[in-house]
Amino acid sequence: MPESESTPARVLVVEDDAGAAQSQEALLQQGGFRTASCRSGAEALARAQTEPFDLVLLDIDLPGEPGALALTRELKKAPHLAWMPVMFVAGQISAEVVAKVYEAGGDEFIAHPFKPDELIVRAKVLSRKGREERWLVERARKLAEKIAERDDELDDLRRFAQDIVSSLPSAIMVLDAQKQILFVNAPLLQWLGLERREVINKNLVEFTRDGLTGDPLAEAIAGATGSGQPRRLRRVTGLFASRPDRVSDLTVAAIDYAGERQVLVVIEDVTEQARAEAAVARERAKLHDIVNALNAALCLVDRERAVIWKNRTFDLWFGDAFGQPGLQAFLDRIPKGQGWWQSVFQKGQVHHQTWSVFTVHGQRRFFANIIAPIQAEDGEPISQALILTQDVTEQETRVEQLSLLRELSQFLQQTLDGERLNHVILLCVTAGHALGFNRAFLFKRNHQNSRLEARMAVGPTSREEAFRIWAEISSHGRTLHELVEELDRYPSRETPLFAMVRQLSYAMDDPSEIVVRTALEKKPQVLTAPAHDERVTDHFRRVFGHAEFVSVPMVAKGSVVGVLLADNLYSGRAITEDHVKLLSLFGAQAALAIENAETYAELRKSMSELRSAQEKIVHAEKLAAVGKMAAHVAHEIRNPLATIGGFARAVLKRPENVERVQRNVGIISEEASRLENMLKGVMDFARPTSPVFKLGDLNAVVQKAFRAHAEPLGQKKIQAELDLDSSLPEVGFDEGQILQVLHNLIRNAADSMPNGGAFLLKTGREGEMATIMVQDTGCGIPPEVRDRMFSPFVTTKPDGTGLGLAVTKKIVDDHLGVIRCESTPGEGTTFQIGLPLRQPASGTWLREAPPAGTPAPPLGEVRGVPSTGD
Amino acid sequence: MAKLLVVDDDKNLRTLYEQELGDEGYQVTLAASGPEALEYLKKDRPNLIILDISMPGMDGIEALGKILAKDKSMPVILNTAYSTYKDNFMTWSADAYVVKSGDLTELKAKIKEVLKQRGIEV
Repeated sequence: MPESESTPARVLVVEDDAGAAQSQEALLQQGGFRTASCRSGAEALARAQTEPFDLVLLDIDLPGEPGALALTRELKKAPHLAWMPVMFVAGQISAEVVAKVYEAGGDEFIAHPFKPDELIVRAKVLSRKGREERWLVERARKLAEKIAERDDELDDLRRFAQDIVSSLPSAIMVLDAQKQILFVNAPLLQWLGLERREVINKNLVEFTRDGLTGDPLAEAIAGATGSGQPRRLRRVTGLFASRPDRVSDLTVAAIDYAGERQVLVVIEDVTEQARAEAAVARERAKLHDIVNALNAALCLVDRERAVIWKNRTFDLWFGDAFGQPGLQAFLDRIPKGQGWWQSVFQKGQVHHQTWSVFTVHGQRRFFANIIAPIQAEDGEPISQALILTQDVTEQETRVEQLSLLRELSQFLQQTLDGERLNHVILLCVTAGHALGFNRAFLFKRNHQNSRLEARMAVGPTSREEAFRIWAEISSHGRTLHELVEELDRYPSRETPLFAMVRQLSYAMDDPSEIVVRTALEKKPQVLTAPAHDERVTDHFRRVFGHAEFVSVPMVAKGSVVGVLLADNLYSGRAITEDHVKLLSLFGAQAALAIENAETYAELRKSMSELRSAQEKIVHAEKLAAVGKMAAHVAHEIRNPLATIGGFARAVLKRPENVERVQRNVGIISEEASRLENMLKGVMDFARPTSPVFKLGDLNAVVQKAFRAHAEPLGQKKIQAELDLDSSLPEVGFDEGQILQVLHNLIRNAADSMPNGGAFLLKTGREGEMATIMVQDTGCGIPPEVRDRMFSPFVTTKPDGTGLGLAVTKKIVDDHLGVIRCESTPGEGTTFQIGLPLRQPASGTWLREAPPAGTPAPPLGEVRGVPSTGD
Repeated sequence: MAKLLVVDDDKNLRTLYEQELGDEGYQVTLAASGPEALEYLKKDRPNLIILDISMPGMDGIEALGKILAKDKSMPVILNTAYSTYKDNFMTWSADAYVVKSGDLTELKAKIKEVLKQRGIEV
């Protein structure tokens, strides 16, 4: 924009007459101008060069050089001053003067003398014009400068672009819309093996392979031109006819050049790259084929168990195709939350696992997984794991077949209840995948009527039920153990399948029935196509259907116990030789078990008969024993009573004989204590307190008893020895009662050696028993007494109550222990007591006490459970 | 003075009999068991034997059999705590059967009676 109007314009007054100059300046200042003045043309020229003026007021008659016209010419010559308006002051304005002034470049005239107003107005107009002109000139100059700069930049850019284009390895060409070649760079010429002139202005079609320009390249060109977006063509083989072996990547871009649409084509030679890629792809394909051909499922999963990649076998096994375990079953085995899953990713550990699953066909399949971490880059955290899964069903089946037989025999041994046994046998035939038949039937021989009778059947009655059960089993994965446990919870043989066959009964002399023939020949029979097999009767076909089946005899000790029949009606699985062999083995086991059960049932029957008879006897004996005991007690009491009464009367009769009274009273009190002792013994025996078992150190108690008797033994010149087994563990016993046992036995030993001898008290261990041995070298126990020495009131001692050993025996029995005795008259006696070391697990041993009169079992044999209160 | 042999396994009872029957004026010999009594009988013959039945080892009934086998005329009074032995026919061969009691009156009377029957002076 021009300088603001408010800024006062500056006028240079050029006038040799100082007075005139002064008056002009004064006038101009009055009119709002700023002024400067000089007296000569040279001075004016110098000032105009250095100071900005908006107007020059020039005396046309300026003396000296340069004169007014020359000055004007000089001013107008300088480009930066040319705009400055010059107003001439002239006394007379002739046409000649006007022509000279305009020719010199002057702008305006004012006649001298002039009216002040005229000067102001004309100076104003002229100075504004000058200013505007100056602004335009400045502007134009600046623009010109800028344009010059741009031109330089453009030149640089052009050079740069040329450098790039010529140094690029990529071949570049520019085409017009008709594919006429406008430009090519050196690499392209090199590639084509042609000179620039042989190419420029030729059509691209001349160089490209037939048909190629028609489609992908043409399309790319059309696409790029149409949309303005570059198009890429990858891996074009033999773009140029002269180089059919080269592979190139192309970028096609539309460019506008001078208003014309042109096409830029950048071609990269990727032949080597493509070859390498092809090699990699071939290797990969080979690997892929191997991976797919592997009889193992492979998959790559991430930390979140998402399957990133899997081989064909994986799809085959775990794809959701009907009849397969399914992907979920697979994923269920690798739960994210598991510690090992974390360590695969965190510690890079390889994890092994085996698992099994039921297919919807009810077959169990076993798999072994190897889960290995896959590290992407060095130092990168592990983000993927490779899972190699192998089908180990075959191996597992072999192992399970072997263990099944063992397990079965255990099961069957434990099962003595006939009904349950039949059911367990058939469960074994159907449930385990070793045999895993769909249906199983058990016929048992009835010896009374010589028939084979259907006794149990296990399996679904319809295909729908079969699939439902299989689905359920595959989701629960129940073991044989669990199935048997369940059977015990719901013990019903009234299965719908059994209802179907329960009426079946075949006479043993009717070999037309396959079941009977199996029994008679004692050989397994496999009928692959019963529908057309003469060995099967129509009735049989109606009941069992037309599926392949196997019939196996159950033979125990040479005689047929029954027949097992099994088939795969629903799954249609073929019955292999293996299955038949296994089922036969199993049939033999089952037969033995059935026989056992029958023997057991008979045994149990006679046992219960025996028991009731025995109970009667025991009751009678109890009554007799009570009478006997009363008589014994009467006798034992009568003797001391008679003695006491007799001496008491004697004292009454002869109170004066002091010496005799004293002796008699002494005997009375002695007999009274004897009575008391005896009563105590009777009480102990008749009403012994229940033992209170506490775990404790048996050695300590034995030592206590030994110490209590050490002195009396020593007085009798008996050499006493104590031998404790320090390795003895804690034993459960009643201390008071065991002490009493020891007192009894030690006292007996002492009494048996009135003339001294040797005494040994020893602890030890024998099997599951802690033992205490009490040995003496005394007189021994007479053989005739030994049989009944543990009965009450049997004694060899003149003053014995005959209760010591009876109480001892009772206490040991209460401890579930055993006591035995070896004695040789004249040589000595050894008592040995065994106490059980362990409290047996409840229920595993008999709870009933042995019947009265049963001889004590040998040491090491435990018979009973310590009662804990009753 | 009549000689009595007391056979009893109870020591204090033997002492009582020795003292009480001695007071009655009898000459009392003691034996603690059947075999001891038989041994004594080899050396001497008492006028009367007072025999306990319930004894360890050889009991009174067995001892009675052996005594009578040697000397059928030996007077024997069975003296026992049981009354049940009265039913044993072997006891019938004894001269009397007295149940033990602190009151020796019955025993003393029976001794007198048996000795009198056998014509033995007291």
